[in-house]
Amino acid sequence: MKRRVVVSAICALAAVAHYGAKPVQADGYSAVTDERLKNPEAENWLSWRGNYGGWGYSSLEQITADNVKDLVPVWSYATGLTEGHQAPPIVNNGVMFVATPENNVIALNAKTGTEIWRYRRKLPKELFQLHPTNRGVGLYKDRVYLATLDACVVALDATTGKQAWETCIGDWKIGEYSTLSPLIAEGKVISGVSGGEFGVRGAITALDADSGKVAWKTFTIPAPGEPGSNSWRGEDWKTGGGSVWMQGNYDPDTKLAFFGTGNGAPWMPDTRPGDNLYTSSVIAIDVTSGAIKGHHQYHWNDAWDWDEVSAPLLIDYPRDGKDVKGLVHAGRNGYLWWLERSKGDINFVGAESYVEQNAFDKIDKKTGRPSYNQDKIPLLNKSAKFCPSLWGGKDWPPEAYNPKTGMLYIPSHINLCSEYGGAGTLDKLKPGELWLSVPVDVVFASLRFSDKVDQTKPVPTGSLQAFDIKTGKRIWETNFNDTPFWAPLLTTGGNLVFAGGTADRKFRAMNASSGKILWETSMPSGVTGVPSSYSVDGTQYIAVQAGWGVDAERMHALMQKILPADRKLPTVPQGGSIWVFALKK
Amino acid sequence: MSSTKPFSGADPASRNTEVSLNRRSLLSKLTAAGGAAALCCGQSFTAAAETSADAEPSGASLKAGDHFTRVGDGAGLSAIRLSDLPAGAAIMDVMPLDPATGKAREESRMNAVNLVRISNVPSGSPLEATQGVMAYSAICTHKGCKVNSWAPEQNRWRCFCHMSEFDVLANGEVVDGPATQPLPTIPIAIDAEGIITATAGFSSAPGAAD
Repeated sequence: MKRRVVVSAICALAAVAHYGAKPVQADGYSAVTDERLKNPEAENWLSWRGNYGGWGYSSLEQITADNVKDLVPVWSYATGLTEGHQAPPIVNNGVMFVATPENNVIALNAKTGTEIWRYRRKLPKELFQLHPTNRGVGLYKDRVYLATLDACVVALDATTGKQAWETCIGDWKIGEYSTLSPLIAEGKVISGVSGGEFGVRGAITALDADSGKVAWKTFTIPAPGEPGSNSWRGEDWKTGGGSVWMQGNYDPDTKLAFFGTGNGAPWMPDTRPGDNLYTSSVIAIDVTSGAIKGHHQYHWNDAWDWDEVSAPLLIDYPRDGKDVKGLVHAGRNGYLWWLERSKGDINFVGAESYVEQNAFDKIDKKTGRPSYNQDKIPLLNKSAKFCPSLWGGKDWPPEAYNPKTGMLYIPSHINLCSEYGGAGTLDKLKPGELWLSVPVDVVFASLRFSDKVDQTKPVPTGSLQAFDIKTGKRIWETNFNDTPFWAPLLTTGGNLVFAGGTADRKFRAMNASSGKILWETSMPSGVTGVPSSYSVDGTQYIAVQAGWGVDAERMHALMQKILPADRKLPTVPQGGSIWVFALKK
Repeated sequence: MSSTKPFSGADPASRNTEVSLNRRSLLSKLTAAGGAAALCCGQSFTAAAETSADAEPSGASLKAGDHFTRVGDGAGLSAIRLSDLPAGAAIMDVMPLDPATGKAREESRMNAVNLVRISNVPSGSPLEATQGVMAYSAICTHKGCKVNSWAPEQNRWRCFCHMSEFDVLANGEVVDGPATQPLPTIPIAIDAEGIITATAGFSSAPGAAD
C-alpha cells in the first residue's frame, strides 16, 4: 500500500477546546452530568465522538507528531468475540466502558486493563444479525446505556453492570435492530432502529434516563397527513426505510439533535416513487418533544443504497464573509455538504463531490437539491453502473474535526463503483426477511472499479482526505491501494490523526497537517473500531478496538472478486481485542 | 440517585477473577443441560448482571418423515417433489410439512431448509439414491441469517449477510467467509410418489454456532 500526499498546507485556527468542569468525585465513580456532556474534560471520552458536536477530537497533546514514533502498547484485552468491533472505548475518570458484538459491555480499569465487570446480553436464539456490531455506550449520571441487537435499550449500573431497566423500542422479528450508541441529552436516552434492508419504517425513540419510560417516539417517515407525507405513494411509507443507525449530534443551545437517516426501502427507486422524506436526510429534532423542526434531504428517491445516517458535525465556519453556525457532512453520496443550523430550519450553503460521483448531474445552488443522470439510476428492470459504490464515498466510519488545524478529515473510498439492477418484479415483503428488490446474487458480484483507473496497476481505493474548514478546499489526501478502508478517525491536539481500516491490519498515526504517516503497528485483526483518547494520572492514552467484520468483511469479499490474482487481499482474521497505547517511558 | 459510588472491584487486588471464570464455565455447562433455572442460580456468583430476553421457541422441530413445502406464497401447501427440482436447481427457504396434519412446521425459523439437486451425480455415489437431491438448513451458522443464494457453478450455498459460503458436496463445510461451522444437513429419500422426504432430523442444531 502506498501513500500519496498531494498537497501539504495548513490553515490553523485557534484552539477552542473546552476543558470544562472537574468531575464530581475522583475516588469513586464520577457521575456524568449534563454540564460534563456539554463541556467534556480533556482527560475523558464521555461519548462516542467525544463531544456533542461529533468532532472525534481530543485536546490532549502529550502525544505529538514529533514523539508519536515512541507510541507503544500499554495493555490489551481479548474480548473473546468475533465480528465487527466498532465501538470506541469510552472513559470516565479512569474507568473504561467498551461495547462489543453480541451486546457485551466490558468495564475496565483504563490504566491497567483489569476487568471490573462484564455484561452479556442474552440475545434471542432466533435473532438474525445482518450487522453484528455495536457502536458504543452512552453515559449519564451513574449509569451506562446500551442499544441492543434485539431493538431494546438497557440501563446498567456503572459500578456493577447490573441492569436497572430495559425498554424495547422495536421488534427484531420484523427486522428492527439497534447498533448505534445512544445519544444522551437533557436526561433522555435517544436511540433508533436499523432495518432498511427489511422494509422497516425508521424511528427515533427517547427514553427517560432514570425510568426507561418512553418520552417520545418520532418516525422518520411521515404518516399520511403529516408534513412530508405527500412525498410518498399510497402505502409505501409503511415500509419506506429511513432507518436510524448512527448516533445523532446535539446542539445544547437550541436543544436540537441532528440525526442522519437511512436509504429508502426497498432499494429500487421505482418501487416507491416520490422524494421519500425523510430518507437519506438530516433531521433536526427537538429533544424535549421529539418534534421534527427542520430537515435537509441530501438526495431524493435514493437508488443507490446511500444511507445518510452519519450525523453532520456541528462546526461553525466562515463563508462569504459571514460566520455560519454550521453542519458539515461527508455524504455517502460522495458530496461534502455544508449546511447551516438554526433554531429550526436547516439551510443549504454548498456541496461539492469529494470522490468520483457520476449519479448527480448538478446541485441546485439555492436548495441543494440534486438532479440525476438517468443512466446512472438502477431500476427494477434496469441495471446501472454508478459511482461511488453502494458503500458510498464514506459509509458509517466517522469523520473528525480538529479545531487546531482547522481541518475536517474524511475516511473515504475512491475509485470504487457498483453495478446492479432490480429483479424485474418486487416480491411481497415477508416480515423479518431481506427485502432488497435486487437479487442477492447480483449484489454478490456488484462491485466495480471506476472506468477512470488503470486496473492493471494497484488502485488507490482508500483515501484519508483533509479539508480546510475555512475554504472548503482539500488540503491533503493519503491514499491506500487495493484495500477496503473502514477507518473511523480520531484527531488530537498533538497534531495527529489516528486511523485503521485497511486489510493489512495496521493502525496508524498521521500528521494532521500533512497526512504523512508517522507511526503504524500491526494488530491482531483489522481495525474498524472508533479510536478515542484519554488520560489518567498525567499519561495520555490512545485506545481502539481491533476486530474485523460486517461491511469491511463484505467489501473484502467483493473486492477479492475484482482484483487480479497477483493482487488478492490478505486474509483478515476475526477476533476482537481492546488496545491501549502510550508513549514509551 | 447517588452522584458517587464506590466501584465494586475497582481495585484490581479485590477482584476474584477465578470466581468469574468458574462461573462462566459453570454457566456453559448448565446451559448445555438446558435449564433456565440453572441460569437463574448462576447469577448469585457475581455482581455482573445478565438478563434474559423473552423465552424463545425451542428451535427446530423437523422430524423424520416430514415432507417440505413452500409457505407464504398464497398457494395451498403441497409437498415438494423430485419433479419440482430440475438438475442444477435449488428451492430455497422451504419448511418441513407434517404429512399427518398437512401443516407446515413454521413455528420456528430454525426449521427453514434449502433443497438442491446437483447435476452430474457421480456413478456409485450415495446421491444416486436421491437422484442428486440434498437438503440443508437454511440458517447460516455464522449469525443466523437465511442462506439465500445458490451458486450452481461451484455447488455452493452463499449467505448474503456476511458472504459465508458452504460446499454442498462436502457436507456443508465452510469454504469462504466468516462462518466456522458447516451447515446442518437433513438425510432425505424420495418416496414412491416422488415426494422429497426427511429420513431423520437435522444433523446438528440449526442456527448461529459462533
